[in-house]
Amino acid sequence: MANTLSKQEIEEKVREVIVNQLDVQEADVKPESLIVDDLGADSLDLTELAVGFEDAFDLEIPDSDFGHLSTVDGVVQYISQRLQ
Amino acid sequence: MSAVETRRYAGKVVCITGGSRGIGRKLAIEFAREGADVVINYFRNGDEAKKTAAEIEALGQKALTIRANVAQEEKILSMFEKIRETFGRLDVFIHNAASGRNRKAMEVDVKGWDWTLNVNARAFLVSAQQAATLMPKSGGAILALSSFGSDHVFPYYTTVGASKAALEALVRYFAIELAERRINVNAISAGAVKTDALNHFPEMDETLKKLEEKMPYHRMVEGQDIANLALFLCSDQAEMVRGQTVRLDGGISLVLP
Repeated sequence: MANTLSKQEIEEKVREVIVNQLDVQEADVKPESLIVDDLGADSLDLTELAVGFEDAFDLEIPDSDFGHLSTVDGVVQYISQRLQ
Repeated sequence: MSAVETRRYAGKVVCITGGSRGIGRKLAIEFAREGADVVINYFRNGDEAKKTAAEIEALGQKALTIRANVAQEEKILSMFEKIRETFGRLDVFIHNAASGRNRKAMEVDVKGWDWTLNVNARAFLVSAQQAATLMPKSGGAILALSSFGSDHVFPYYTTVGASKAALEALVRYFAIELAERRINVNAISAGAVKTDALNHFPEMDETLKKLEEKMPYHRMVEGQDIANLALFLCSDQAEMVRGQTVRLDGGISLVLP
């Protein structure tokens, strides 16, 4: 996928995936939110989140990368870099 | 004991779900060592799948990596279509992929139940149906990797245990139905397996040593043991072992309460 998305659009899509997958309120999804500790994701949620981000951005995100992403902003930064 | 040096699978095609790492990877390598071309299904570990494929190719065999979430029926169907296009046949199918949301029975949710049953049991149902259609008239083999949770109770193992019980039941039904087509279907239930995953736990060396002292044969089950049994169960030599779940545990389940 060519990177035609702005940083803000990437952020919005990331938040949308998180809200849908984790069934949390949008207001609770802040850049510094920890996906496991603050948003309550367990291992299955993390798998589904990774797949959700892959589908949303047409990327393959291996566990070896995804396992290092702990915050919402970390995901946004990672996807921004991958789309460059 | 190392594997016997034979080439029972020369000219054959083997597909292993969850074949990129751990026990699946070991199975992929050992079947290739015995002459098989190998289809490695993976979902979340593409880098590991590529490494496993490279190792198989270094043994002089073909390797095909296919990314597919086996929780989704359409992804399984696409995987078998790709096998059909690439090899035109399949001789052995091994369902090794497994997942699960670990919770107490009173806390199991429908989402976790569906995911676990889909990956561990429904994927086997759909895959076995597909695999059988790709197997030649001379026959083939289907193998499932189960666990003691199918008939024992472990903490937080509710959903996986139930899925493994369903898996073992499916193995029996397929074994009878496919016997006339010379397709053999069995399961391996391995306990106390030493894998690299255990290295992540602190003081594991000491813990393993204590556990091995308690075991009748004083060692853990290793990937090679599972591969040795799988290579036998999927061969013609095992044609009178049908629909069985074979315990591979060094005898520990016979002495535990």
